[in-house]
Amino acid sequence: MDFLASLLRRFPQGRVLVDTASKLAYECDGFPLHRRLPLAIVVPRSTEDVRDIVKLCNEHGVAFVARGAGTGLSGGATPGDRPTVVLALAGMRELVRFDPDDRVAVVQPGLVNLDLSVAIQDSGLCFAPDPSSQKACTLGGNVAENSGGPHCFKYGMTTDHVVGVTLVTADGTVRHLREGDGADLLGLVPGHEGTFGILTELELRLVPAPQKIRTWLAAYSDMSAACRAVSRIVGSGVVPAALEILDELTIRAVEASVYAAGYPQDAGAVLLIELDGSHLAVDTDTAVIESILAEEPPLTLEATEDAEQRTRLWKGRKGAFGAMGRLAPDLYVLDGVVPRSKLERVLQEICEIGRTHEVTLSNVFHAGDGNLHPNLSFDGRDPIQRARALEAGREILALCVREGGSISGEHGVGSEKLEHMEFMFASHDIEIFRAVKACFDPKGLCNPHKAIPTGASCKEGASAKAPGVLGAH
Amino acid sequence: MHTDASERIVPLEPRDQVVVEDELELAEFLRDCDARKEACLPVGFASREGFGAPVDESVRRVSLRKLAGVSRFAPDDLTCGVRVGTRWSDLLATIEAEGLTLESGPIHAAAHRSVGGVFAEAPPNPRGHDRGALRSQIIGLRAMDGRGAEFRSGGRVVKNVAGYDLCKLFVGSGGAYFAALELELRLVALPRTIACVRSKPMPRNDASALWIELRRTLPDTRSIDLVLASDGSACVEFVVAGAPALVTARAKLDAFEVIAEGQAAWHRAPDSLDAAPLIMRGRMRPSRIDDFMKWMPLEARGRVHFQGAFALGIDGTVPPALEATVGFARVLRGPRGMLLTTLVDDAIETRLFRVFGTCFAPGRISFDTSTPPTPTRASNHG
Repeated sequence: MDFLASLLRRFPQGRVLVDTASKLAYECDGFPLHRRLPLAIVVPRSTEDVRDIVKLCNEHGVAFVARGAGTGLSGGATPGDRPTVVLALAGMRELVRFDPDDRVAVVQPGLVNLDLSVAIQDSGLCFAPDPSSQKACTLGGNVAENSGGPHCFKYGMTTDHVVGVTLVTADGTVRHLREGDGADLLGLVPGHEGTFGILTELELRLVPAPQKIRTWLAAYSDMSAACRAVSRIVGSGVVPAALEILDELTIRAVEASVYAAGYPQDAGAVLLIELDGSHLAVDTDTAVIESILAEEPPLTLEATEDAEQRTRLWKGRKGAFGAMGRLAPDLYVLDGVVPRSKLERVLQEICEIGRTHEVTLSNVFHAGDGNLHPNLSFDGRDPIQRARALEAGREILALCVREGGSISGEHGVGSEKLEHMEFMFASHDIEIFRAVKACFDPKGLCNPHKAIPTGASCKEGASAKAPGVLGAH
Repeated sequence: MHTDASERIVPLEPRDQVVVEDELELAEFLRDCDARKEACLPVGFASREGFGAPVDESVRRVSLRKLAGVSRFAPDDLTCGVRVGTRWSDLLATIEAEGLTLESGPIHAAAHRSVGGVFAEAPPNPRGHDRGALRSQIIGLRAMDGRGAEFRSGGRVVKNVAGYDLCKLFVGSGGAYFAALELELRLVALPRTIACVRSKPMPRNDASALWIELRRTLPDTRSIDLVLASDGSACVEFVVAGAPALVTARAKLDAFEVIAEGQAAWHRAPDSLDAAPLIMRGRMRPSRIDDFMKWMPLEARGRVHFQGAFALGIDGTVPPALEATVGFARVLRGPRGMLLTTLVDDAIETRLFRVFGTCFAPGRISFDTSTPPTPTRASNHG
């Protein structure tokens, strides 16, 4: 019996999709430069369903990839360059167990990030990692990508909040991995980008929901002044929940859009600072922050503890990538990281790269941890503009690595950055990574050609066809 | 500095180990082991000799203690690079001079432990909850595989998702996969004010109930430990750190007293359990603390940390049904001297072991499926 017939026999009608319209919906994730139609889409409901799909794939030598909400920004959930089955996990969205005394929740991978915190909000606990797409992105995707977000400066990345997973490996074996059980296989899983297997349950660590939140919006005449304020805050020992900067071009785009938040349009940069925690902790740290801000007073300063006003201040930051649509039809969001102390100088060089390649470039970034999101706006219908954007992106990521940083802080490598892995890693490093993947996936069926370059040629990943919004975080 | 008078350090005699002078010598040593099909075990100062699962006499110990020193320190970026042979206390002295520290800790016998050894052993530590787990401190590493070839994972910035996170594989591995050479670490500001606060001794059940209650209700703590004494009593101890007003407010709890302040509080390591005939470590679910307390022998002493990681010294034998009660535990020293959990003959662990060459001795981790050798000698990457 051929593969598709076996799938159709195992799963009821409606849970195996092979029509073109359905396939089109799964041809890419939030990185639409890489697109490819899947062989089929299967909608599992349980670990057993996933196990059976994977076993079938293994028997027939068919590649497979997991997909949650499709909000990934590096092509991690895009079908690869050979016939690939997509496991659509968004339907596996149960909160399986919640134990407030242990501060853990066990969830299925399709549960939306924000829905977990909403479901447990009466307990006074929450799930800390908050990617900007948290209203839509799924927790399985967060773990697979080791997602970050504005508040990971204080709370850490997703990997710091995973205490156990159920993983269906490429041969259909169901593994339960927990923190502390001998060899730390669990530690390898966050950030595996779906290349080790399919996550079917996640045990996540929860933290106390903040009793109080205080947010400042400081507008500066230039980027350097905003960066200096960040340095002073980090140097003070206070650990804000978030330190986010938007540059001049971003401010203008935001204020001209539906995401307008009242940012001063004559500012060269705005800095969002947020403290959260107990009433006492926020109050004591507030004095420190305000004293730092007074050392080099911003053009304007707004502070609030009011939830509505806070939402407004964040509206511009969270809507920044959407607002970029006003600048050009297409947007390429980069995700480089540099040591925070080099932010100011690297940003100047990044702007120079943009000018050299005649690309419209704006910056929105997590300043506390040096995670930059240079945004390249271009018209992808013009092959020259498209080529310039890609080349500028390549140069920017190379710059980040030269300065001691990384090609990705939170979006993952996916198919997007395979070529850039050589900036960071030597060939033996890559060989080790490949061998580690082979431990979980000896036949190379599990999301092949993602995260780690697999061959002599780095021109991997799905076919590059259409432009679009190339990622937004 | 950072030592505990009750520590019992039993270093290996120099003749028992090869002390490499530099990385080239280590590469040569590893290639020699590989060619001879001989197993080796990286150690630091070998201060944990006698703990952990037994390692066969034939296994060649190689000490990395001379691969030492803080190699890179970027206070403004809250990161540093450190070679694995550096003493834990020397690392702390260097970074604390600039007002920085490690969130993890305190680690007992810090002056006798190498940085590589501490991470390879991954002992439970009080500040292990929130982002303070040892496994969260390493942001990058440079290491050598069993064929003497160098490789890297991670980077030097606190946020980085490129490549697989092999740093996690090193933490708690006992040095079984590869020899780490240099670790990149995430640092935090040394708190301005610190206090270690302790309750009066009380019956264990009362103390465990209080521990659960404080875990739920007391904000801004860096640690909350349930401390068990050998006389059958227990108390609760916590560390609070931050702005002076915050510390003062949190430290004022009825029936609690401040027992250490400042650096003394930050570095106040748990009492050593090294003299105990049987040492157990593991992780239990705090929600099952009542079952745990019923199971625990009266003479057991030690600590249960915030997230349920525990280390106990026991005079008797390992109680039955331990796994069912606590979920995961291992005996560091005892009649078996090895994992209590069912050893897994698993293809993934075995394959992972082979990724890095096969000359490293499988230590105390779960792919060690061989018949336990006579526990006359044991070693640890210490």
